[in-house]
Amino acid sequence: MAFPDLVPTARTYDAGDFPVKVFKSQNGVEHRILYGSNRTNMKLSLTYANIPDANAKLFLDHYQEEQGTFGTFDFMPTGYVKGWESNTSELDAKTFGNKYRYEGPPKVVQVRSGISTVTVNLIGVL
Amino acid sequence: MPFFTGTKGSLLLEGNTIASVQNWTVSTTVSVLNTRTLSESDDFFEPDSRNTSGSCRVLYYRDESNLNNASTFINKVIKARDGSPGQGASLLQGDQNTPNEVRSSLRLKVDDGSADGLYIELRVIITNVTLTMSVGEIFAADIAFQGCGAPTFVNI
Repeated sequence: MAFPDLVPTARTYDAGDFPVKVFKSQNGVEHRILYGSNRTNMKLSLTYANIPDANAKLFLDHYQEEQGTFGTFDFMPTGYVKGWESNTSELDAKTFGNKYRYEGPPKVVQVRSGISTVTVNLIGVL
Repeated sequence: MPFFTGTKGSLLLEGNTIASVQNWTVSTTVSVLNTRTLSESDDFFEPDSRNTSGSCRVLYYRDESNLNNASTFINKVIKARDGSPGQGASLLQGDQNTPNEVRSSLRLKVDDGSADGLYIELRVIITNVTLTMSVGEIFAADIAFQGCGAPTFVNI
């Protein structure tokens, strides 16, 4: 199954960085070595507030299918970028040669009977 | 088309009419959950929970038998220490028939000429009693209550 095609109520995106190693000498001079040509470690945090439990379960099912934080996936339905009015590929790890995986388990907060808030944290990896 | 004024209102605590109620209010609020997503412009809501609370003002008096209804309210909350526990006093608010009950039964009534009238009956916890004594005013108790669960009976 694909990542659930739902529109989040809040989204945080951390653009990651290129693999750079920084060396600082004692006199303060900085040396940087670029170890790769692809930006990576972009982080995407999605919050789905007050959704039905049936939809919350979709994230748990997907997390299970991806074997937790182990599996990577590069297909993301369009729901997660809804509301972003620029080029949506900017938020897609695939654009930069990465794939998303779960950074940690989805967090499900039961708000009331039948309604939950789900927070999903994804990280782009090469 | 009949309207109802304060002369038609009354209040019953544990089934007994409180004789000297000056006013009562009851307020029910439904809280909602916002389900608007990032791509939508207008809020959309799901009902979440309901809260009922209210207040009343009871004048303090004494009748021939040295009884008064204001004391019935007041004594549910303002109590002398009884060692339960330590220097505290019991938080129970039941009557003599239900001494271990933490809630009281309150009926807010409007007399429409029928046998039972119009009413809302609630199980409540009395959350505040404010006694006010001032020159030129009658000694009175302002009482606030919080409904527990939905009303037990509604006919209004």
